Amino acid sequence: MTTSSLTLEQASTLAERIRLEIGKALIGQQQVVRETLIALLAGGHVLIEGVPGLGKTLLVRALAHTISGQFARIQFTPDLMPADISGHVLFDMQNQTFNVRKGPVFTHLLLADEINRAPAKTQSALLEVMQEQQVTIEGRAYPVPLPFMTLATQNPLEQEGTYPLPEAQLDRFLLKVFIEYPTLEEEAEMVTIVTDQQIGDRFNLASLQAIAAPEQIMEMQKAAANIAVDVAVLDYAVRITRATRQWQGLRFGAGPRGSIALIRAARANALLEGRDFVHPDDIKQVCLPVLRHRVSLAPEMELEGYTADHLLKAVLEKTEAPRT
Amino acid sequence: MNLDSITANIRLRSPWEATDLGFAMVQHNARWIFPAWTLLLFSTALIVWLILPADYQEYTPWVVWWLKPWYDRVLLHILSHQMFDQRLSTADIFSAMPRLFLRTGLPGALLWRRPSFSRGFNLPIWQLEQLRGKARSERQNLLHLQAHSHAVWLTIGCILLELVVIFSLYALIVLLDPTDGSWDYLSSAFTNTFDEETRYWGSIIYIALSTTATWLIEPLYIAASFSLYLNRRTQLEAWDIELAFRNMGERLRALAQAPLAILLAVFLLAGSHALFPSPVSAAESKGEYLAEERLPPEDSADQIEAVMQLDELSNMRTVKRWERIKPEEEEDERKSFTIPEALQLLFANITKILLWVSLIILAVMLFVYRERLLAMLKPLQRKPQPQAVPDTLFGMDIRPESLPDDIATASRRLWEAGQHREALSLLYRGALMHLTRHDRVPVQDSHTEGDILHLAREYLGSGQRIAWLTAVTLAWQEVAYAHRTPPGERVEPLFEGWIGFALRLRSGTDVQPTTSAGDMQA
Repeated sequence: MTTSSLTLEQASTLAERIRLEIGKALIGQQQVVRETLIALLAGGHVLIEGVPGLGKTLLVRALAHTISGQFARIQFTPDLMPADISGHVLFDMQNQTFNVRKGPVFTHLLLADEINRAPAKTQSALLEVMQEQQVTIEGRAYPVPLPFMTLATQNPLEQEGTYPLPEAQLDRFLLKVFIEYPTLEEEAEMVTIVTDQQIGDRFNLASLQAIAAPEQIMEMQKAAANIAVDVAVLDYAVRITRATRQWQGLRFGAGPRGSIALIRAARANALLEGRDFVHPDDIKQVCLPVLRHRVSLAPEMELEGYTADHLLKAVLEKTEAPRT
Repeated sequence: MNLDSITANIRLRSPWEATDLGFAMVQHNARWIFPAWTLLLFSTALIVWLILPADYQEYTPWVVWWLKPWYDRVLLHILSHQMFDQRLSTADIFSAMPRLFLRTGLPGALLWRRPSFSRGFNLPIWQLEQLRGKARSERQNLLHLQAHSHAVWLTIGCILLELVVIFSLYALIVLLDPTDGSWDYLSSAFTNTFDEETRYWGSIIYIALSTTATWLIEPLYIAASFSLYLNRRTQLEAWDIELAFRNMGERLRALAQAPLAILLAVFLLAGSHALFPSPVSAAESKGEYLAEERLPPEDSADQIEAVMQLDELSNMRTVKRWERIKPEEEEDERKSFTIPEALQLLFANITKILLWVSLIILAVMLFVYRERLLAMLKPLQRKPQPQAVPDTLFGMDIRPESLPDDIATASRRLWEAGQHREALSLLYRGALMHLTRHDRVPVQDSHTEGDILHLAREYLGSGQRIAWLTAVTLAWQEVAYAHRTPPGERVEPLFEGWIGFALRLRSGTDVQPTTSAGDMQA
């Protein structure tokens, strides 16, 4: 593994290899893996929504393994305190000094499991690290190791006793990814792999190869950031985001961070396809995961069973494609 | 049938009064009806439950319901004997069952006559009158003339009453159940999400409740139907008058046996003649008068008039209704506008002719426009209306008249002149023009280049044309969004491939040749 700067082609090949390697552990769920990689390449964070037992933890562990990164998991509960996440200062009686004990957030990949089970105070402890990639303990900022990525999970079924994420927190996530049940063939293959000469029901990650180093991921992120975006494509992304603000059926639309996220994610999407420029189809492909958590449905639309995806598709159908 | 021993007060009633009499009969004779009835119904339900296979036990209520004509016969047997003051023991009732089973038309009642809404009303004809065939049919038609609608409504009412009883019992269970189990069961019945054990107990409860409802309502139904039937016969055969005469005869016979009451009997007989005057009796009883003095006819008429003015006899009623204020005038006006009969006939005939002519014209038009009309009758087979073809896409004018005659040559010339973007733009415009106008690809303003490729695949399938379109799209995207000129060796095949794209288009089976200059050149 080399840490020298990567060409776009190398970055794309590496990303493809990572995708394939994760695919060995997480059978099916190709869209989830792809979108997670997009978030990683764009330096963003992912909110994953799905019922328990679909491999969310496995995805993060496999990703951490393939990028040779550290991995930490925090199970969010109602009594979890902010210091349990970020860390705290302890007074060492022996040395008569204050020592900083860093929390689990100091890692490359952080899995915030069932993030909506903790109250807003604890959830907001993640705000700084997600935005600034640093943690302030006792007035002093500690940077987290890079690349840093938070993968938070939510369970859509059990809403009792949960604290919905505030809009400010939701906006910090680059993508919201839905993880669905696998198909029959995928599930059969998964059961075969997990149960074949295995003790317990955990996937043996030792069979996965480490494809890249954290430094290479950062190089890939740089390569993605350098992908060209034409002004017409940028204008298209902004028009989509702005259309959500006046769209009938939406209580409120996405803010400017939505447009920024669209471009970042579209660049990563172009890199995954080995292209050095973004075209409007990249924007369309990433639009739903980028915007679905940044808009809020009007109550009547929710009552009628519409989801954010329905309305965002309508927005896309009514927004003119770029005119170059 | 011995009318003398009838226990009910036979008189002409309105149909609903007769129905009420039936309900009262059940209340009055409940202790002689219900023991045997309870035993019959619940033992039948139990037998059905035991006979049915485990998987079909939940259909027990339907079987019990279906067997109602059988219980009806037993109930009518009990009620008809009660009516003539014969108290039957439970053993008597059960011993009569084989006869009831065989001689009351039960098979037909359980099969094709089961859905009849006048089942209870028709039953006495089968069971008590023992009529069959044409005689039964005529008898039934006669009885139905004035009572059929009431019999039908009685059946409907009793069905609804049964449902009310079932739902009330369910509500009672829900109210008295301290746990939410019964409510959960009822609500999950709509989603069918309960387990086997709950389903089992739920079906047992349903059987119990539906059987209870039948147990409660069915005797009332049969008694009311029977009473309705008796009322109709009273109406037809004047049973009430016959009974009145019989009673009178009995009374007079009793009086005749008492020597001291002979005179009184004579007196009463005379009174009865006065009440039921007839020319014969008047002639026979000539010379016997109640009053000592015989009044002249005029005075008699006055006296009769005075007596008839009494409230008891005048039968005066006050009826209020709306009346026109000036009915006579309107009547006169109407009369004055009466059209002569000849004119009416003329108008009628002209209208008739016009209608026939219209009908013929309509038939001719139907024949002439048959294809169009048939097409309208098959909306699913109609092809969707083609969308309006856009003139601009991605800011490009894609109208045929805006394009040069030979797109490939013009593009190549632009390319060679160093106007790479314009050259590829022209080629892509040409492709879009063909896709939208000839292949009818429904391209919209919101479609990106990738969307158009995706759509075009559905219309063009796989082959040279889609490969060429893909290559043009990629080259166009590169020059448009990456601001990078594709190498000449990649672009040259695109110029050459344009002819193939257009020629293949012409040879397409579902595509009409166009008059556009670009196509003609191609």
